Amino acid sequence: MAVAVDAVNTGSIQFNQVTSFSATPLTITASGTAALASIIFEENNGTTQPSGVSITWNSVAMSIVPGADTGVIASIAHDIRAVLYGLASPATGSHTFAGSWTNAYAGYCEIMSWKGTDTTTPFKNGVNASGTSAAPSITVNSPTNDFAVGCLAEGGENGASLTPNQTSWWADTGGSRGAGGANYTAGAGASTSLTTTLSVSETWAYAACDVQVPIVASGGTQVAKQNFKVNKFKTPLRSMGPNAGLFQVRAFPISAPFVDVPLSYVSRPFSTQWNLNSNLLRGTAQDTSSSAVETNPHWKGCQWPAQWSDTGAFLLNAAIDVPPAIDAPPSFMSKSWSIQWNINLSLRRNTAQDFSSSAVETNPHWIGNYLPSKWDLNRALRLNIAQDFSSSVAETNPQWTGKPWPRVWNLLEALWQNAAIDVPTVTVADTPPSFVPLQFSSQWNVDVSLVHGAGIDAATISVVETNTHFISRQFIAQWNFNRALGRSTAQDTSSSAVETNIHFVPHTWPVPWIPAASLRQNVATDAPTVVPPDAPTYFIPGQLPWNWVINLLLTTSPANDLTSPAVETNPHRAGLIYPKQWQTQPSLWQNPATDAPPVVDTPSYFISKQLLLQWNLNRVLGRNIAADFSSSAVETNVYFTPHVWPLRWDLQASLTRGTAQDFSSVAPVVTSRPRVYIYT
Amino acid sequence: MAIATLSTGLPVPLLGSISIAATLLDPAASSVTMQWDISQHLDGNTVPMHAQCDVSQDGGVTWDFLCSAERDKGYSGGSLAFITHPLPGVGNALRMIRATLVAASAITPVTTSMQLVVS
Repeated sequence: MAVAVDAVNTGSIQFNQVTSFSATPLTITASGTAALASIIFEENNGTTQPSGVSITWNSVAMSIVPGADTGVIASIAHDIRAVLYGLASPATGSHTFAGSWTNAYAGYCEIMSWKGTDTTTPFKNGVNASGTSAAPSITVNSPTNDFAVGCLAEGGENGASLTPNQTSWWADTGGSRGAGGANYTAGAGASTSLTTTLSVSETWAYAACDVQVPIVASGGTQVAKQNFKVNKFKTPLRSMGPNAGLFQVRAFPISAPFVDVPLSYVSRPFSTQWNLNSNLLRGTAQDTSSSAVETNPHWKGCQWPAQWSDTGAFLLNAAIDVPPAIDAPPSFMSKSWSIQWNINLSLRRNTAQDFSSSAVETNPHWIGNYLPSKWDLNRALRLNIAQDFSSSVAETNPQWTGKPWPRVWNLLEALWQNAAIDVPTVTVADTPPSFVPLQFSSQWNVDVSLVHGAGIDAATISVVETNTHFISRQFIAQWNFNRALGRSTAQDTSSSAVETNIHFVPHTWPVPWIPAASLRQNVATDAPTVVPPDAPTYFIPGQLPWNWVINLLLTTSPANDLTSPAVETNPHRAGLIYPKQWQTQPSLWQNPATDAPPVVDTPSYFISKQLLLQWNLNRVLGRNIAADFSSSAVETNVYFTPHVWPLRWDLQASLTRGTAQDFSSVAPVVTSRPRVYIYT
Repeated sequence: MAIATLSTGLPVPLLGSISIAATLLDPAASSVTMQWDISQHLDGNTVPMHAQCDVSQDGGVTWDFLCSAERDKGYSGGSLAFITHPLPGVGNALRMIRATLVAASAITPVTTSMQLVVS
């Protein structure tokens, strides 16, 4: 029977900056006989490694498969480590997969279960490998019917993607400090290979082991017949018959090495003192004077990470505060980081840093500095608080610090001396013979023509322009006055902080602070006051309520009071109802006045009505002959509806012939005679 | 992807919980990342921070533990702690998840925030 996969967590579990995890990613079936965890640790170089790592399934500790631990491998960017943890006969079902350690770290934690394994030592032949390439591989001694399984940690320095070959267990390239994956394949002997493909070359660490089938039970190891020979033959007792006999065999050591582990062998982890102390690989003193390294067949020499190599720069600063390392070998030279490599704790604070410069990464001597306070952004200024632009900026800006003018801008005191004065007029005629006229420098010469000749106004010569010490300079652009700004708002030109801050990034004024461009246009001018006569300034023309609108038609009537127009112009007046006697009777609006004939006799309650049609006199009938109009109901009754005589009232024509018949009484037909019985 | 923020500026000691309703949880989502801000959980702070995520397959009637992660104390250099875990019950429209972040006490004022990212 061969080993087989029982259950696998389908997605990867990733953690970052934590010291423990708990998860429920797996349900081991009732057939599961072993659980195997793949743990990947990846973090930035130099991060304190996790220690005291404990991995459990259902609170039962899992142990490192001997040999399947790469230890810490340093890439350019990260420290990586791949480890396999195994557990025989795990609790089946869904349980908690957990891990804990000290020192917050990042990585992956995955778990799967196997069935058909040995229930005592399901995992063996642990190996590990590391390198830098795009084709990580590892060879596992995994006999037929076994499985080889391995997990890979990728350094992530080049951002390579990762594809486990054979059968992928898990793969994840989304890690914060690198990538990882795992795979397995059926055992194919001592050279069973597990490989992973990376998109580009990177540092990798591979840990793998064999998942073995049950060791032959209750009989030891099956060996070849030729390894035995009869050692002693003893004559049987007579009571056992003539053909009975006893023989004894003894196994001799075989010459060829057995691949399989003998029954008597019980795999055990190295005792503590033989385990590789990964901490020793980092920076602490390592005791190489003992014989442990030489006698541990699993020990592999490791290359010091690059940062531990001797570098002249590191030797500059003598070791400080290094406790005496009693166990340190003579070759060990305790060193401290050179000062330029020390982390400047101040850089971790929340002050603004210039990340746009690559100086930090490339200049080892660079020491981060705080930005001067005057460069700090004043968050408060970004708020939408109304700002009074009419006042001086210097007064409202708490960050402003007055500064002296730069030297080049200081007034040259030399220029204050020897102010231009009027040179006394030199009269040539009064010059004594001994007088040796000195020649003024040309700019001081007096134009004699101005003395003797007709006076004309010579062009004004500016002293400043003739001062040879004066060096004309051009204002740098940022010092130029913005004439537009100079018109109204105060400008703070005394501070040079903005001009000298190369990191200054101008910001746009918040919208509410930007002067509305529309306000700049059409400077307010005194518009001529237009005061409507009698109209108050607060007069708002409006539509009078309908009931106040004068019906001009009514003005011809005396029933309209037009003597007081104040009502129409007083906006505070509430509309009032006309007194009843002023109200127009709506009924008068309906029928234009016509001259109705005076109806003297008609009472006010008389309602003229039309005679019904049937009561109209038919004048036609009134002509010539006398007509009885007293009973014209039949003819004139419009409601009359002729009806058909009931059948029984129809005259039977045949009966109208002959003799008269008395229809008034029809004798009943006697069909029987009544009988009277008298009982006595 | 759905993102829910527990809270921002939580003072310590803090005790908060968060849940994404079933209607917000994509039935096709197969992974959840529970993450929280640790930028102020620095060296010298001995307060552990513990985050736990639970999942419900019946619209919040019953809840099962999914995963958790913890920092035993503060460490320098980190900005975000997280744990990513597979989400069971893909295709279940009644699926819900919730998370809880706990820091029992503090020696220095710390603020943090927490998110669940489902993908």
